[in-house]
Amino acid sequence: MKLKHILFIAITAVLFGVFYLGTTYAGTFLTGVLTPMGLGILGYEPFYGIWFMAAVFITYVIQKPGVGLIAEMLASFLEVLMGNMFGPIIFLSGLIQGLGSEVAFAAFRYKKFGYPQTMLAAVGCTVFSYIWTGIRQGYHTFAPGILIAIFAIRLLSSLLFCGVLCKLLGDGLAKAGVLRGFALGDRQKLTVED
Amino acid sequence: MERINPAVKTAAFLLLGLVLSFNGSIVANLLLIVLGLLFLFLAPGSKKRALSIGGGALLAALSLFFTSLWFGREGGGSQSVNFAMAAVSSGSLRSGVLLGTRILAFAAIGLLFAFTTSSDLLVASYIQQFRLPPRYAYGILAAYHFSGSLAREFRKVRLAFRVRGVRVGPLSLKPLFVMLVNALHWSGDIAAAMESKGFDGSRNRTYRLRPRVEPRDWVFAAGVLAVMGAMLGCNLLPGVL
Repeated sequence: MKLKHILFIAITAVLFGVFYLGTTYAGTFLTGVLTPMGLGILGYEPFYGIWFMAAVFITYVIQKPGVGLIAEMLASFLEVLMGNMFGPIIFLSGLIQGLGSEVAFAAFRYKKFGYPQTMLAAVGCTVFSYIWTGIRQGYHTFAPGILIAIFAIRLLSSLLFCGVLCKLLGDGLAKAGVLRGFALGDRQKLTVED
Repeated sequence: MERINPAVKTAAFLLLGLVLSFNGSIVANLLLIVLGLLFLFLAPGSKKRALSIGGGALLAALSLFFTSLWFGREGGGSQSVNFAMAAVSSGSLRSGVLLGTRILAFAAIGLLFAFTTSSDLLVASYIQQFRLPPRYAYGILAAYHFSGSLAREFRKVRLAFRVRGVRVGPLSLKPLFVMLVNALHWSGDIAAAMESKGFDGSRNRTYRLRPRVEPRDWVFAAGVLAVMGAMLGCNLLPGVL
């Protein structure tokens, strides 16, 4: 991969992190309010999709196998550098989320890139991360109702942030003509010339 | 702890985290919390920031505890116990304590890692011990050191929108879009600058920082393995602990 692409991935990951920073406060507040009722576990769920954005956005823009996985790994590397509370185990979370996104794009052999693919990637990230947080946070000890609520809110968040927003942002960039040298921008140009 | 090779420390803590994820013993969680905090306070430097991060971890632990309490699976545990004037099953109480202390244990070892690892040494060690391709490593390092300016630029862009009378909420896409356009330009510029200085991994550079794996790293690795062994042993303890 070109150094320019690596830098774009890394800067984008930081950017989504900064974008996400404001929502962590909201998530912490929500968790605090909901905790006595036992619903604190839902506090961060509405913002979960933002964590998957790097993978889906980068795959949509660069359109190559494996870039989503690399994006999530770079993002988790950055989190470790910045002193994340959970330390190096974040690498594993990044790997799992990246795989969730890759599986969806791989199902179309990395040939098609549109809403069906970004939406499926959003679902993939949700399912994969759900299994992983399920192990870490002992979901098997919870009642079915709360488990369905966790999954549904995370899925909605993921569909919104990854399925829809990532596609809109990518299309906007391509339309603005700044994606030269990236698959999404070059493809857009071809269709205009046709 | 701050003199341990970062690559060795990463591998050891990753394994420790994995064992912790599947651990079913409250004593083992407490063991990690105590050890993590002990080494954290032995480490030099200010730990003020650790307090605020620890506060977040405490909240997360409490939230998991209460979720277990009120939304535990039915029939876990035989007798009911009184907690805060409400009857909950002993099984729910136990899994609540287990999950709560597990989060705290994660935070304890995570904080220990964060506060005893220098970012420059970490990257150098990943290149030299984990064979991470230098272009990825230097790219990451560039983005990491760029993050301060990025946050500043983000604030400026939001302000610019407000000056023009455009309302921007915390989740507005407009500032994010402008920042992505900027990110494209910056990544091109930084890449050109790094290539001109030979930071693109096409040549063999020498290193200023040369972290090595030394005998004390093996001692550390053996120590972490012993802790993992102790945790597995805890899982064989009888009773609820």
